[in-house]
Amino acid sequence: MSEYLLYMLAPTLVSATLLYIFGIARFSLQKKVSASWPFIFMLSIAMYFGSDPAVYFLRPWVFDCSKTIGICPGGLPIEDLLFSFLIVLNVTMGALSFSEMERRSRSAAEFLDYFFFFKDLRQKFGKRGKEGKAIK
Amino acid sequence: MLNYWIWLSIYVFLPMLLLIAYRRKLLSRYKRTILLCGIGSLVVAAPWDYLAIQRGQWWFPPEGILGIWLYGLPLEEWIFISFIGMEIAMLAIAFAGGFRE
Repeated sequence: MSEYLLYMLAPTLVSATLLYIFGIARFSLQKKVSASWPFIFMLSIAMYFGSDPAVYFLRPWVFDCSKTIGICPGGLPIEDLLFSFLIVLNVTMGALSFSEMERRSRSAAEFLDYFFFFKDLRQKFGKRGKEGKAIK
Repeated sequence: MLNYWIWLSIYVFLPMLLLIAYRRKLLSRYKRTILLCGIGSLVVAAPWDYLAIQRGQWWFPPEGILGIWLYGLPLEEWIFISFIGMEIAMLAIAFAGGFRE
């Protein structure tokens, strides 16, 4: 098992799951994610194949290919293609979620209300009295 | 030669500047989104990057970086992690189908 694969999968899969629960599912943005798949795939491929020659020639960083699955063209492990996909997926889901909060809020305070779930909590508990009736 | 800076300029700074130049109006509507994506990238990627460097998954040729290390990562890596998040967010806002209204 590639050590790099483990290091890459753990944080990106956890953050993708959290982003899905707290952003995409919360605001029902599934259709927007579906509409973004072509962008996610194309940018992932462009990132991997676009940066491969540059990493080979410029060597901004150097991978230890012995800690990868072994397919390491130009010094860039093939796992990086999966990593590119996961990072683009994560950021796109984050951008869709945060932009929805930005669209719904009229001020920075309201945006933070959405971000920290204060708005949801107030809507659920804040406006109801002891007997469950709506109060002003 | 500071090769990491050359790489950052070609793949991060230049595309971001071009995006700002051509999609300024659209991107300005999503300033908080872009900023949060940068911060989110840092939160998720920095600890993982630190561990990977400690374990020798990858390393940085000394001649390619300034040599300023902060909390176990070179300065260039901090810039890369935060800016790549913002760059992808800007690209998504400009081109992803989910952002078309």
